[in-house]
Amino acid sequence: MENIIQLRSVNKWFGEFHVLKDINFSVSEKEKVVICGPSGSGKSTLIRCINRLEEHQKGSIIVDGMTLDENTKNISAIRSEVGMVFQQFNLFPHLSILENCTLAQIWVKKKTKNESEKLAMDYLRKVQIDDQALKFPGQLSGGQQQRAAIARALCMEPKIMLFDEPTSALDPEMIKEVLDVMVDLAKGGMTMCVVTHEMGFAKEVADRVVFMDEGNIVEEKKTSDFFENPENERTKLFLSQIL
Amino acid sequence: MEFLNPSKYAYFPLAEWIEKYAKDWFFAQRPVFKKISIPIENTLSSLDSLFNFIPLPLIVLMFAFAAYKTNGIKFAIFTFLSLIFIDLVDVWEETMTTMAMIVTAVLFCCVIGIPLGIAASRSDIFEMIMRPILDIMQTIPSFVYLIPVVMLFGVGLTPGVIAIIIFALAPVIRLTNLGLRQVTKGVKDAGKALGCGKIVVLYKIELPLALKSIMAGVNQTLMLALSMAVIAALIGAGGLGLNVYVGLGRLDIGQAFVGGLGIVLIAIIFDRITQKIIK
Repeated sequence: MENIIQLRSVNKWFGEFHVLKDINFSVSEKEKVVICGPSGSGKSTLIRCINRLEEHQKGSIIVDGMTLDENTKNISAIRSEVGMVFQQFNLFPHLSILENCTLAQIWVKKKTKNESEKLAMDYLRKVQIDDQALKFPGQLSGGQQQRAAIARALCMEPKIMLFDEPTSALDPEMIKEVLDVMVDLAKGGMTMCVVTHEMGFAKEVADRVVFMDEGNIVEEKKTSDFFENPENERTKLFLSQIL
Repeated sequence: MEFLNPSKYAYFPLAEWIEKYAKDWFFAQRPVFKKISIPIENTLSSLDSLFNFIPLPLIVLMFAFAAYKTNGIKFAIFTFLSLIFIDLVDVWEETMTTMAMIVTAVLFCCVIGIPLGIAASRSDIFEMIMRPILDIMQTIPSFVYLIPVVMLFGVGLTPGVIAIIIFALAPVIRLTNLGLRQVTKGVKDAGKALGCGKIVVLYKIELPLALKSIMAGVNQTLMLALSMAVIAALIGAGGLGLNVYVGLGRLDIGQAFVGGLGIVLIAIIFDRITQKIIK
């Protein structure tokens, strides 16, 4: 199977701090990869490099055959193929949920208002908040906001979805509704990269689990192997703390 | 102890130098600056003739309506009575001239200030350069720059408006910059992640979110412009400021008071209406 995301010896520094150390990582089409690890291990930075919200300083990143570099055309082409969901939802507070979903369709994909609203309503129905479409983000619960954010990303019809700790900012009773949406999406065949601590989700949908610590990929295994025979001491310690 | 004073032994002719060299330079530049002021002059004269063309009752009703829409019936009555009163004390025409000047000045402050504020929010270096310039513009005694303004632009209404623009420009730049810098990184990231270019992120996400702050800047600019209206009369700008200035010169308390009152009344009206628009 072809790799839709390919990172080769990627290095990144924040000033003096070496966040990503020689990362080699790939995701093939339709694969679901969960990235976990202690906070500050570089996992968020890693997926933010995939749509160039962060710039890497060394190495190469190729997404769907396009190399990520200074070339702005590539960046916007890649960004419209890669959807992203953030920990803090990051919905546009001045726009209704529906407008949140149509903004990029209208201004990036140059679709008409009608077309984009129709697609937006389809996805909002899929995440079961179509009845909230005309409300503003501030009027919704955290779980609803995160589902709206997922719908907003899906409206760009991306090939890949990146999730950056999508449930970490949610109250416990709202985690399930967001995970359910993500499980559905995974079953629908989406290529997914998920940074999360939800090991139940990882067991249910992930093909592969990657464990990161201090800017390195420490362990990378098929999901069942990862949970049953972790080799590295740090992985074992992490799993014992989280499970 | 006087023998210790440096000025006893030497003199640094700064004032003479400026008088001699800068003056010549200013006069030489006059044609260029005259051209720059053409758009301001055109806007001002068309607004002035517009305000004086619209019949008085219509203007009163328009303002009262705007006051009603924004602040409710009480303030509408206040606005209505204030404007009637301004005509009763016979300074209606001067008030319209002052309004044309203020509106022109605020318009140009926005046209110049908002783009500068955007630039300052994009670049820390540009912000660092702008900050002392804005401080100088706001704190330097306005009498000091009235002289170069007269040298470059002559006397009259337009130079008066230019002096007002210099004085009132700072808040709209500052608050545009501040408002844009307060937009959270996450929301901008979300826009970028959806594939929006810089321009779309700016116009569709950042500026709408900064709008409240920008409008607060415009409101402050408006208030500064009104407070400058009297000083602008010193260099030949007409309007209510002229009444105050002439009254001062002739010790005619009555005339000065009427001019001052007119400025206060339209300041209150403008302030309340724009404050409510912000909210």
